[in-house]
Amino acid sequence: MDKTRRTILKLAGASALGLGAGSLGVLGKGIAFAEEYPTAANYESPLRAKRWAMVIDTRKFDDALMQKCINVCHTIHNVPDIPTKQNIKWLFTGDFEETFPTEQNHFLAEKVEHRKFLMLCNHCTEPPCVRVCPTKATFKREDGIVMMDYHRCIGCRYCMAGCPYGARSFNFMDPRPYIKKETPQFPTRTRGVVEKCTFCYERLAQGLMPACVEAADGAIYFGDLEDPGSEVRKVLRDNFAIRRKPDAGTQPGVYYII
Amino acid sequence: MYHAKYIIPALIVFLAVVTFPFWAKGKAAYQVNLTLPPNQTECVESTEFMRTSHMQLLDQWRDQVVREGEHVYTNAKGKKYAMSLTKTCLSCHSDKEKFCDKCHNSVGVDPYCWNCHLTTPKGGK
Amino acid sequence: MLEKALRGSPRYWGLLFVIAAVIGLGLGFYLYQLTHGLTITGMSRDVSWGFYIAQFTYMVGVAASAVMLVLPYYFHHYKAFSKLIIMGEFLAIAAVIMCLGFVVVDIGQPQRMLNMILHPTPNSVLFWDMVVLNGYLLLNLVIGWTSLQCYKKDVPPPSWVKPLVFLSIIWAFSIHTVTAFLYAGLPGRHYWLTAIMAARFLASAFCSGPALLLLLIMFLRKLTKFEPGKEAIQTLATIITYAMCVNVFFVLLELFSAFYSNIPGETDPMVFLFSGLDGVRTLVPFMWTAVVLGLGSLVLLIPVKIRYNQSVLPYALIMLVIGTWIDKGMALIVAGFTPNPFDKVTIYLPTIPELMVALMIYAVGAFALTVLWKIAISVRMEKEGL
Repeated sequence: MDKTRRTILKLAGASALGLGAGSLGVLGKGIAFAEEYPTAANYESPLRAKRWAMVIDTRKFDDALMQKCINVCHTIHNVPDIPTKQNIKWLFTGDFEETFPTEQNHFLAEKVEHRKFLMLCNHCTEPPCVRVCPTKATFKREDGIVMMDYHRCIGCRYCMAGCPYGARSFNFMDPRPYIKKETPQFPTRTRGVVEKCTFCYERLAQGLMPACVEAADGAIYFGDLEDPGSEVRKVLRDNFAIRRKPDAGTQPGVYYII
Repeated sequence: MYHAKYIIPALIVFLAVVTFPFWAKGKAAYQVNLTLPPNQTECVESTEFMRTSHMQLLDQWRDQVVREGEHVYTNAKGKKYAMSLTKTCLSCHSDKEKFCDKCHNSVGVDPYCWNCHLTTPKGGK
Repeated sequence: MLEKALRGSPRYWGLLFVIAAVIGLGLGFYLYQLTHGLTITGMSRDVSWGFYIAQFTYMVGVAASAVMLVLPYYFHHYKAFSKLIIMGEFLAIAAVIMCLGFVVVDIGQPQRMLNMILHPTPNSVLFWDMVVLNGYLLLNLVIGWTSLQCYKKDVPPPSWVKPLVFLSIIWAFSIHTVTAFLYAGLPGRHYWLTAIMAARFLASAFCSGPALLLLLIMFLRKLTKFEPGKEAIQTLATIITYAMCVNVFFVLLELFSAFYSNIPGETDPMVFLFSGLDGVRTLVPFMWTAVVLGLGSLVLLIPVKIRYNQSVLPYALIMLVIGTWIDKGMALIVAGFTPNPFDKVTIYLPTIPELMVALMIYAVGAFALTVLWKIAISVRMEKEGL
């Protein structure tokens, strides 16, 4: 990736946001980022792929880095922080048993035993959630991203039943009171719709990497799985990686290097 | 018709009352005082177009951004804009209460766009 | 014929009034839900379907069960069912109304309901469920109303009723199969991912639906002069017995596959139901009650002398209905979501507001059933000169 000065400024802004999310005060007339609202010029060179995928190098993560990624994601997307079991999460953590329950590995390697793993929507190639949605409110884009149309969702939660990975959350209540710090650049959702990670499609359109990828500072690789020269393909060639519940037949797009 | 001498006049009165808003002319023209954004000369499209069709334009933008993945709109004059209610429209019309709500409240429409799409925060929170 | 519903005894009006009061009470809670969202229910991120969808599933079974009367009567000319047919068809109508009601109160944005029609999605089973349920409602309304009118006017039904009846027989099987497909095709929910799901649904429907019908008919006999005939009751009780045997057999098949293969994805939900998982035992007492009641009902139904004893039969039927309701209306949905995709257990128990909204839908069904059955009974009583 060609790191121009502008990209570095954006990265600095995003990292500052992630690290100091709680302490950033309101900057007056509503700009939560270091830059202005994007204009048409920002969308001139979007990132494109035939099939977006992610490789998470779990060896490079510690609790603080994972929390930083989660904070960035949840802040820039106005994900509410609800303390009950009716909570909403786009990016979250779990231990080995929670992340890979089908591995049934009872004597784990020491270095993996207490490791935490980042979980998110896997943007499957064959997503069951898309198959079951009765209104096409969730649908697969041509670049592989499983997208959400919050305007069309009727809140039937069939997609939540269909997802084998527990990646989706439902807005049981109005989320706004639970949003710690609003990011005006991105909408909130409303009560009664299902939401999930959308691979930062709005950043990809501006030529930016997803927020968690930037915040992870090299621990997460993101690229085109169908481009043999892409970073993700290289990393997958060089490292053994597994996916969650591969027997579900969904062909997930998120790989984990253990 | 039974009781025609009561029914027909009553029907005429009923129709007159029901169609009243369409034919009655009040003394003053309908007044809405919008506060236009300062230092701005040009909207995405012309005022006449926006008056009649801003809702259709927003629906079109919504489907293009969310469902087609297109983010850039070229207006009638060839100028390009990012298709976003908050980032484009509200970056100029930044005070929803002094602009958007003025017409909406007067005609009694309550668009639920604001349930999700944020206006710029005014401070606090 | 609608005028038959507008004239009735004080008891009839009293019943309608009580049902309307229950609807009003539930409506208050439903408005509370519309204001605050589904947070008022006991559902969670992990157990995202609950009591409402469970009742929907049970009621689809009751709706489909009308075919157990229609098939013998129309395909095999079993005349003994002649008095019961219209009652079964009207019960099916009330049941489908309840199904649709339970779905409406469950969705997060009910005002966007019509998106399913504006943006039809044939790959979604939910889309087809909407189609078949509404189609079945329409079929039963048309067939039931027309046959009753022809009976009232002493004319044979028009020739197009027969093909519609045959369609409704096949359609009845399809509504519950499609509902089973909602669950049976999801790769992450191992309690549901079984080919036998549709068969189990049908078996449990064909015993619980007619059992409910028979109970209501026997109750109706005490309130009115309606007499379905001893043979009809005995044959229906026999059908119920066979269906319940098949139902219990299918449950045993599921238990075998799960526990003999010992695959955790299969055994975990059943262990959760019958002995608790991770210390969560919310459904354990209910499941064992269901076992006792289900098997107990068979003990009373299998021996012919007891089955045909009409003072014992109602108890057998009540036990059967409660047992099958616990299995479908309480256990099925929660067990599908337990354990969650992270192999953890989240407790689900319906809240009071949730139960009240469900009660409202049941009351709406009861209202429809009362009105429809009043019409049918009044027409019959008039014809028989009673």
